[in-house]
Amino acid sequence: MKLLLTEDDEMIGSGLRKGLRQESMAVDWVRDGRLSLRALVDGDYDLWLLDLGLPDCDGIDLLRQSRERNVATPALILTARDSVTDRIKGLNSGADDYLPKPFDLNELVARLRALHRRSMGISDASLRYGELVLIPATHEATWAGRPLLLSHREFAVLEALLERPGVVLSRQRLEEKLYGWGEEVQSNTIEVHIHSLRRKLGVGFIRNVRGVGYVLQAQT
Amino acid sequence: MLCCLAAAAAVYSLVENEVGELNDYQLRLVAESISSNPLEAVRNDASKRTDFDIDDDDQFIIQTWDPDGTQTYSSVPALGLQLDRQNGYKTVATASGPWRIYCALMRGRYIQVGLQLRARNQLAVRIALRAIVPLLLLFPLVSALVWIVVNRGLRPLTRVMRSLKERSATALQPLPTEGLKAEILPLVLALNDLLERLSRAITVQRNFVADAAHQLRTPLAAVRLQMQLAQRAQSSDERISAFDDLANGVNRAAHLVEQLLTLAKHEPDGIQYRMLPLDLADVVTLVVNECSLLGREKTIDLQVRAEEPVGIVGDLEALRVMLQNLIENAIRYTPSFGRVEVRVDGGDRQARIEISDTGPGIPEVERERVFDRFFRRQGTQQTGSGLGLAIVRNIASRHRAVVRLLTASNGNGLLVRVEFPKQAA
Repeated sequence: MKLLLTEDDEMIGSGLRKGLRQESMAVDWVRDGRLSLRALVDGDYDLWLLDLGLPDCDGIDLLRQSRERNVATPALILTARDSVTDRIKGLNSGADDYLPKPFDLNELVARLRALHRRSMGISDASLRYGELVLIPATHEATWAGRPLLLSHREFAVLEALLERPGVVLSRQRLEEKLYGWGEEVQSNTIEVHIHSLRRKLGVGFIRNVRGVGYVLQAQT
Repeated sequence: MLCCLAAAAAVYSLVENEVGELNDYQLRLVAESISSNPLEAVRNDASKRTDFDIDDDDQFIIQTWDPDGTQTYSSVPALGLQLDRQNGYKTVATASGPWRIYCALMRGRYIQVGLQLRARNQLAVRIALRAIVPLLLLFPLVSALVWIVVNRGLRPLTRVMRSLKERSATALQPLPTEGLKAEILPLVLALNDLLERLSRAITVQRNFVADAAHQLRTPLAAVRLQMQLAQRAQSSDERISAFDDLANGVNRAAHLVEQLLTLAKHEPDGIQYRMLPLDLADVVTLVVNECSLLGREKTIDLQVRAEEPVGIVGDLEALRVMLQNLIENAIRYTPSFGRVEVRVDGGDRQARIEISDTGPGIPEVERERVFDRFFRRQGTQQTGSGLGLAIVRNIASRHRAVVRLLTASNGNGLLVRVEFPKQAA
């Protein structure tokens, strides 16, 4: 899951990036509105976490501008202003959810996941594919009812594949989903994760479409 | 009623005066008429009256004396009134009460004419009563009239009072002025002016409290986040670094609270300043020493030029807070290996502090806004409270000093100049 974080406060920004990475989210962090807009238009984000208190512009304006440019990325806004009128204004300007400061990290993660599920048209909190069940909120995975031990990255690869079963994801796309800006990505890192997953789930579970990318084996 | 009594007393005293003068005049007339009449006529006239009664109040007493002191006539010998050779009026006490006596030497003999004082007092009372009774009868009528007139005159005031009573303590909208008489209009206008100023002050205060609450949420959000990250830490290294972050977050929240309190303290109606004569160079040197550790941590060359004593009158603690904010700001915004210079100057009988740095400076368009509370410049990586310069301005203006932001002589750093008022020669 790839997320754009718009946050001008150093402490909150670095804390959020750290916390969300622990949740297997790839975080790109920008500190102002102008860069956010550019990243949203160019990049491919699953979620947008926006702090309304920006120094260079009003967060609500930024939200409106992004929606005018057909950016459909689901947005959750963080703000110190939490009056009902503020909330309504935020939601009417194109936000999908709202969390007042100071927020709870676990609640934020849960809301982000719920928002992501809704945008994918999934209502169940768990992702299922054949014998595999993933519960993103708790990071639990089971294979044929037995617990499955996965690293953060491995979990993120499976999550990305399970969100749109049948869709081929390119290696680059997967890298983007796994890593935020500034994170060191080895050239064969995706292959390493896929290899390790195949050992745990059986070689046939993830198919390699040569020259295109990876897709889950169709279930009979 | 009290007025009525006072009026009665005044009338009585006036009448008594008049009656007195009238009586005295009467005594003199009698004396003169006696002097022009032959003595015998008087004697004969008097001899007919043997039934004289000294208790008859209206009765005159007449006595004549030869210049050598021999009594030649007395209408009431029983009274035993002695001759007093002094001419004029006189009040004499006798066994039958005080008498008013007129005595004059006329045509070679002394003539004494007297009247009992009681008589003239009674006359005075009678006349006074005649004057006062109609006044008393008029009293209820007049008071009713006054009541109606005053009530009608005060009706606009009553209306204003009622509309003031009816409103809540927070309703500060102006009072209606239409239909008010010219006498009361200025009062209502002045009241409205006060209400408006009050409402402005309350709005400022309310915004400040709301702002402060919101501004506290950001450092609190950071602390909460850092705390949760510390709880999640898997290794001891992770935990140590998480706790370091948490400590920074708590320090920042504490600093914001500190700055809020400082700001409130140095508001125009904040704590009382103790304005004492002091040496600005001393204060500057003191604060620079306090800040030197911060400068060393960032490898910043912190210089102070304060050789000559510069006398001003000010509050030591407040000036210290002001200088601390300015110097810490300069150090914080200057990159490592930069230079901060603090200079005190007392030329032209005007004390002046200048703090210049080699940081990025502040563009001219923002030099006014940076004094606003919670204003933080875009792109600053420093996690300040946004209150430092607001505090500085408050303290400066309470010393009638002016703070100017200028460009440092190196071309891009910031130069802060605090100018104190000119001293009298």
